[in-house]
Amino acid sequence: MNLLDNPSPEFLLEQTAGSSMFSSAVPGLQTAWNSSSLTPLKICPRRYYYQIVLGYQPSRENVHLIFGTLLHLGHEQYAKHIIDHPHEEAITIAVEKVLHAAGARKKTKTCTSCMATYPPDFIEEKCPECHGGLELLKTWKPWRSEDEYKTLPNAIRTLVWYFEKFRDDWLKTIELSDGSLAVEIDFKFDTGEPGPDGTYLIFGRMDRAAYYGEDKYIIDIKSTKSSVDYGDYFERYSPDNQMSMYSFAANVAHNIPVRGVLIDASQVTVNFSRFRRGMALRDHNQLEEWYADTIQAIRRNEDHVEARHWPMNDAVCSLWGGCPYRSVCSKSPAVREMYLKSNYIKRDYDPLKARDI
Amino acid sequence: MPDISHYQSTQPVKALYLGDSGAGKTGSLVSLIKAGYRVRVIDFDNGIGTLIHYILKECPERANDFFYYTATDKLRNVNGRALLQGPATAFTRALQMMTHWKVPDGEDLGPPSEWGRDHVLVIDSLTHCSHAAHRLDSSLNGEGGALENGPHGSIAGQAQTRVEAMLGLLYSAEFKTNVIVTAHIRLIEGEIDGARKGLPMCVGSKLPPVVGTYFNNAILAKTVGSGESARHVIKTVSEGIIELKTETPLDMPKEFPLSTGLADFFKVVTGGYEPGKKEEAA
Repeated sequence: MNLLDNPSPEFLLEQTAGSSMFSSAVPGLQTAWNSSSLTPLKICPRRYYYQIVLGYQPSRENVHLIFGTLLHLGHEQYAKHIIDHPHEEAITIAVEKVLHAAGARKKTKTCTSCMATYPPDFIEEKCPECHGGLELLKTWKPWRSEDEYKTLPNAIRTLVWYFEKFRDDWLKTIELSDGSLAVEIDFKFDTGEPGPDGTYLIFGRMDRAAYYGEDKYIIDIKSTKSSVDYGDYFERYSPDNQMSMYSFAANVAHNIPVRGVLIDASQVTVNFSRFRRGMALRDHNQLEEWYADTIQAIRRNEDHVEARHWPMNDAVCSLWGGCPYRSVCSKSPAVREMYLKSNYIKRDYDPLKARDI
Repeated sequence: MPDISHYQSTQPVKALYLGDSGAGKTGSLVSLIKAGYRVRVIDFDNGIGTLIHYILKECPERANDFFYYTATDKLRNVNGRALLQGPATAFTRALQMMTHWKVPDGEDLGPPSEWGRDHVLVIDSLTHCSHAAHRLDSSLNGEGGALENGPHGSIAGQAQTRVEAMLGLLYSAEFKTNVIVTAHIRLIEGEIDGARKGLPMCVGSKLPPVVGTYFNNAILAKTVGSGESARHVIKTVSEGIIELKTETPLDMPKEFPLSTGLADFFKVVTGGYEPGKKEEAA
């Protein structure tokens, strides 16, 4: 019996133990949903199972996640500091924060002449390169990307060019009711929809909420290697689970009646960065429809949980650049568990707990 | 199968009203007001003065039932370029009015989609409406609302989609109010045969050919002849490079005098419907 594809209740409880997103009473039942878990569920239940329930992700470094995190950090810091700092100073602060976050100070044996670095337990007394003296120092090691586009220098360039282009931006960050700026805004609300173990929650984090004129929007920062000319890029966000969730949550959780999401896209290439903004508008009817469909998807998951089986949606495996778990599903069921353990890594994914939402 | 022998359309009139600048499109709306229609205009052209002049001269008793909303952005001249003075809000404000007509410190007329057959919502004009949509995207993208790269540049793509979504809203069966959208004319080469056609002037190159698909009626305000013998008319039959259409081609005269044309046109299309005979909520 393939434990992976026919999990026992004990196996499921073990996989989700400690995660505040999952029920501790009903094996495999997710009770708190965010965009990162709802989207794979809506795409393919099997993908959701591997990615969220079991927590497996591709073992290759997720360059896009790291690059995106750095961009978000830069935007967040600029938005917070432009309030009481001049434009150039706000940029400097943002870049400094990103550089700090993009590396780590590590102990190395460092050549005092040519600055070559070696492991701290390096046994030679002289630098093999230039024969200079070696000293045990703490040096800053920047993140080195495996991708030629999404690198640390390109992240810095993208941020600086963006802040210069939008120096006189009409988007103004909203102030929340507690006086804080609406930047990196957490949200959590109880749907009131009863499940096998209490009611379902929806939670997440939005990049920013801002005014444009009298209208309010959620701002979502995206980065891509592809062209951001409209028609090719922005159409994918309507409809879109994440954009609809943010629009809904802004209204429900923060009482910010937004017209939708303004997607702030950066195209990142080797030699330049380019920027384009587009809207994913949502009216009241669209948001009601999204909510109803989302609850339905969560209800269907209850069936998967009860059956302890999350079926494949084998019509979408090749779409959108290919599912990251296609190589698992393409294997015979008997060897999938072994393949998954060999080629994917498990992560502790509990943003609900990590952000203390 | 339904008995169509007594069919009479109860659907609202959705009309695209073409014409060069100065042909009299805006002023000719007065005939609808005189016929009893309750006309509300979203004015992108900032040219409502002509219509108000006609109303006050020809049917002042109807003046209190005429409403308009001017949707323009504030512009300033910067080295010969028309740039925004503040954020671009005309297009989004106008869209909000099309969803619910409520003016701050002013009238609240409710959702235009529910007004009904006695009402006419006028978008004057599609041309400047699409400029407003284009300015919105230009401003959001840090270009100050400039329309350089023409209205046909890459940034026009978003504006085209936005305007087409607006047309879809007005055309939908759920929008139970008569709609007139005015537009200036632009000559564009046809995709199939390369022949030039007179199409609605609006942002981009992909939108003009599809605008007509959102209307069951397309009519043209035109000046025929010149000097003292010039006649101002509304044409209903295609001529030359401008294609026109109507829901009732066999009953529709080829042209009407501009001064009464819109009211005459509505009478034919609606099978003689007379507004105001039934009470309707405003």
